[in-house]
Amino acid sequence: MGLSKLDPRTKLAWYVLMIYFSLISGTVVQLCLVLLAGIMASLILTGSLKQYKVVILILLFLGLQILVVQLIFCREGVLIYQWGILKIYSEALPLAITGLLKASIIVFASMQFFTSASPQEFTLMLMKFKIPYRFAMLVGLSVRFLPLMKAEYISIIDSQRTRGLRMESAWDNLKGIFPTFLPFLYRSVRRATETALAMELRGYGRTKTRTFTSNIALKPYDTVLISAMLVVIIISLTSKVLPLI
Amino acid sequence: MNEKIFRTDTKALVGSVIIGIVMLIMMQVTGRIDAILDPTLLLLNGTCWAFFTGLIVLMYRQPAGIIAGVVEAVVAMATGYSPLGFFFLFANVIGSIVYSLISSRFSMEKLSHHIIAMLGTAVTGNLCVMVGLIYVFHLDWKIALLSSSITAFVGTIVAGILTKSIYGSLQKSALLQ
Repeated sequence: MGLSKLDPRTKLAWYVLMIYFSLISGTVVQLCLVLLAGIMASLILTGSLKQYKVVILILLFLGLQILVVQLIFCREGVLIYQWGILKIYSEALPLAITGLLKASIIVFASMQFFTSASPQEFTLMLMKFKIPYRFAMLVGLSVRFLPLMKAEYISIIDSQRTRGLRMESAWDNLKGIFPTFLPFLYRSVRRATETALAMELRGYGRTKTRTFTSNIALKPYDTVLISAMLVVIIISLTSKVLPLI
Repeated sequence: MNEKIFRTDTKALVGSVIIGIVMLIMMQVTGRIDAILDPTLLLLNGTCWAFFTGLIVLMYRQPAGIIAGVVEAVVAMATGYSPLGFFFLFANVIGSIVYSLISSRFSMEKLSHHIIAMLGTAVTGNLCVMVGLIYVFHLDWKIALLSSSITAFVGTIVAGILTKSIYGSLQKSALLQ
């Protein structure tokens, strides 16, 4: 069974399950198991992990950020190094690893979910949740506009560079925010007005319902998978709440 | 339906998506600058978030503010640009609703109106991020509270002034009509 055959609602349930376990797991072993389960699911359903290659670099950067935060602020464990007001405690590294694992699961699960279905499938899923099509169809619009807007921002940066704006260091980038951002914002507002007018002229929002070229329906295996995931969450929540009562 | 809070025409819906993408791009730009200049406070990122949350609500009201916030948070999660992306979802939605509720009670013509509305947004949004700092980064709650308070304070003042000035210039330019 391929990933594309699963209903988007099943993928959403899996996503919720992964996020839930990433937040409630406290130890490195538990978090590694959750991450491994996510990777295995991807490997079984798609047969490849190539699409996640780009995440490794992002996670390395995130890991560095979390490590810096922990080295500066962690006050758990034994003091192992002090330099002025900077104090490094023994628990900084384990906490940074736990934080990185949690972040990795959230990033991995998010990529897994949001790249697993087409914008139209997401639209249909939202409509199954009784969201009016005028709102549900905005998913496709955002996917269509994201690369266009990025290209527009880059073209504005290039235009400003040709006028002499320096964009080399972090400080230059900071100073360059306003000269690049304001034209970008004004052009975006104008584009929004034009797009809305074009959509209305094509009949968007004229009727309360509309037809689609495809449809989604829960198959028996989807129902079984969603039920199983819900049961796991309920059992886990019960085991957490019961000792408190 | 309260017209000071809700607006559901096509222009508002499309505008929410497009300005949501602008917000996302600017958040990524400021996030990268913050990662070099102040990786623990994210002052620029917090200010940029508060500014866009306020501006979108003023321009297109609700549910545009919520849609733009969800677009920003979802793409942040899908591209992995922040481990706190999941908490941005709540921060964006709650912050936007709070801004709507406060701004609907004022004429939004004075700077103090913008600062008050921004204060509510920055405090609630940064509270959500604070939960993320505690759960994901495992920061001590006092440190997380301090970091969120500083970001909320800077965001309130700077984003309040920026929102007033840029929303005013957008109104004068007739782009919003």
